[in-house]
Amino acid sequence: MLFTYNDITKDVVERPDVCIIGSGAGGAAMADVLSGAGLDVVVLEEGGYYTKDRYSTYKPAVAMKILYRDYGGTIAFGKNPIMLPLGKAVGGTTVINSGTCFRTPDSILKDWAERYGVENASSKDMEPYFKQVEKKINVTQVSPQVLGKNGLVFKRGADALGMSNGMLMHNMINCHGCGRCAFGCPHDAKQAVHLNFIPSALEHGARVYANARAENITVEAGRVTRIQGSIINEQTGNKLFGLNVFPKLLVVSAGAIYTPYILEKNNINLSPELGRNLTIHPAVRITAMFDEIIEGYKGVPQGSYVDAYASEGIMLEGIFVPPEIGLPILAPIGKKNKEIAMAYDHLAAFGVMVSDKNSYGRVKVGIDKRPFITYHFDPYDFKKLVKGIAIASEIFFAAGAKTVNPSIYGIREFTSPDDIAQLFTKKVPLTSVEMMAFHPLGTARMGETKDHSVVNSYGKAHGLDNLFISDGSIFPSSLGVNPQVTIMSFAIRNAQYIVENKKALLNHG
Amino acid sequence: MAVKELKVFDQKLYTIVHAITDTIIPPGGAFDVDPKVVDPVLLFDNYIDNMSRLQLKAIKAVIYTIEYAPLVTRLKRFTKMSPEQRLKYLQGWENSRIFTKRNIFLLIKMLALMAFYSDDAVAEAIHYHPECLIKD
Repeated sequence: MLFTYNDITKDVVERPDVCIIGSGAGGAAMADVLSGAGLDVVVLEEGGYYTKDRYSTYKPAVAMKILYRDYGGTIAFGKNPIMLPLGKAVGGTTVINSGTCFRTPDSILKDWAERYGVENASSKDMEPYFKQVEKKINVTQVSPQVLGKNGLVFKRGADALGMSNGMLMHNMINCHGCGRCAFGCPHDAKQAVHLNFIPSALEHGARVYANARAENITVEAGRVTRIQGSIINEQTGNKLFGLNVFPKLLVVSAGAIYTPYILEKNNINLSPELGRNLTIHPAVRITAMFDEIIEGYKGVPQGSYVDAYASEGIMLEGIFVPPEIGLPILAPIGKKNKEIAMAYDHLAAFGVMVSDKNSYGRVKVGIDKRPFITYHFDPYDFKKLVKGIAIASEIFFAAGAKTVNPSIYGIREFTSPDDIAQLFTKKVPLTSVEMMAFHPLGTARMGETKDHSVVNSYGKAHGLDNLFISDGSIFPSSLGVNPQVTIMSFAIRNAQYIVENKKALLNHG
Repeated sequence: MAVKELKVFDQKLYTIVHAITDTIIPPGGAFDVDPKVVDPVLLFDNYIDNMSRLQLKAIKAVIYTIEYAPLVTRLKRFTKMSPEQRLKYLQGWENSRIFTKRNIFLLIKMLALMAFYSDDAVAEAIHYHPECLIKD
């Protein structure tokens, strides 16, 4: 059964085998496997439950208000504050992500084993889980019919320069190319987890509570015994009813920001590493003006990629947003704003994303009792970002762009490829680049020692017998690629570990 | 403007925000929308109504800062300036060498423009017709 605040008329009390906080990629996959194995599962999701009928009525700006945390304006503070959009709905961030699917790179899995002691997670070990996830969420390549001109134009430029590129893999069925992946797919073509893992878990008897905010976690004698929270009115944000869950085992799947936050808030200090080692894949959007009509908002916004520099930690992936999201950042105030609005159909955009090699961040409980995120962007990684901007600019010119806007304060838009050299001859301060980030990871990393990690190789918390973490926070380092398949695959693997060891894990004493 | 339609701003804030939005998206130019149909302040107000009390306080604080800060340097409140002076003043925020100042203004600009460009009449005016590549 799935309950929203509308269905609930009194305080909720549950005594399941497993309680999962969060219904995103990690929580949903975990719920499916555990309930499928006969365990009694309750999922708590702070966000609401939305369907395609509701998405299709939302304009993008309204979707950001409803489906994102903080209107999409969650910020990682540092020398240059970086916006970090997070989803808040049944399905978590999979509801508002771009839908791009990558397996965990072999080199990353090898690195986790060698440097962090992560056990039994080689490419060979993970292969069956990747396959299972790809089947469940229907991973398939974006077709040219729905790619849209934004992706085609960039591909044309990359091809002209001989740079390795291609169409991305997405979790999708019958995509119509509506350009709305990040605002809730109006056709349910994007296979976010509320369309596969969650329904499957519900069929197995799991109970999913939307609008249910977990607040307090009680630990007694080395075990989690109770989760207290509230049922929230979606419209007003007011508390409607109390929520008390007494699970035999708790899985926290609230994402790399909210998982360490809720644990720290409840003084569950699993390791000195909790909340540390945050990686976010810093990114920047480069735009270009063409003579030809692009209509970038038609088609899959993140349909293609250029991976020619992936070994250096630089990935270029499509990105395009409708005018109400793009113009506020892109266009200056005054009459020029209106001029760019009228030329929006001629605009193309692409994203540059870098893996955080030396950069790191931290999540703490802020003085306002909300998560406080800090991030140190290392100069080495920043150099990669600037190089990525140069590559994207070069590709746009090769595709026939008239001008390219590198999204850097103090550097005018480029009018010829010769202008790109400025990126290397002028000083480009970190604070001059308009950045975003999309993949928070690493704040409760896996490993086999408490001093260097928060959970073991299967997501079990060090020091607490019945607490697991299942989301992007367990990954010891940046992936360099979009993480949803990795999160789901590890969730399935770790859920199977719980099932195999359920007698020991669920029964106290 | 019907004050009763406002959810966040009061009359005083309405006046200041009106001056700000009128500068960010001035009347005339490449396209125009009927101010009787599209009220950018009302759109802005209604867009931010779900924000937390703390976030709304921060937004209001920025708006008041924009209004009163020029008293120190220009001996005039923002709303008392001419349209040209307002544009120059806000461009000073937008292009400030001080990163924080630039970003604080970006917040107001973003919210105001997100609300404005979401309006159907504005979308029509800029010929924005979102549709899927494959029709049902």
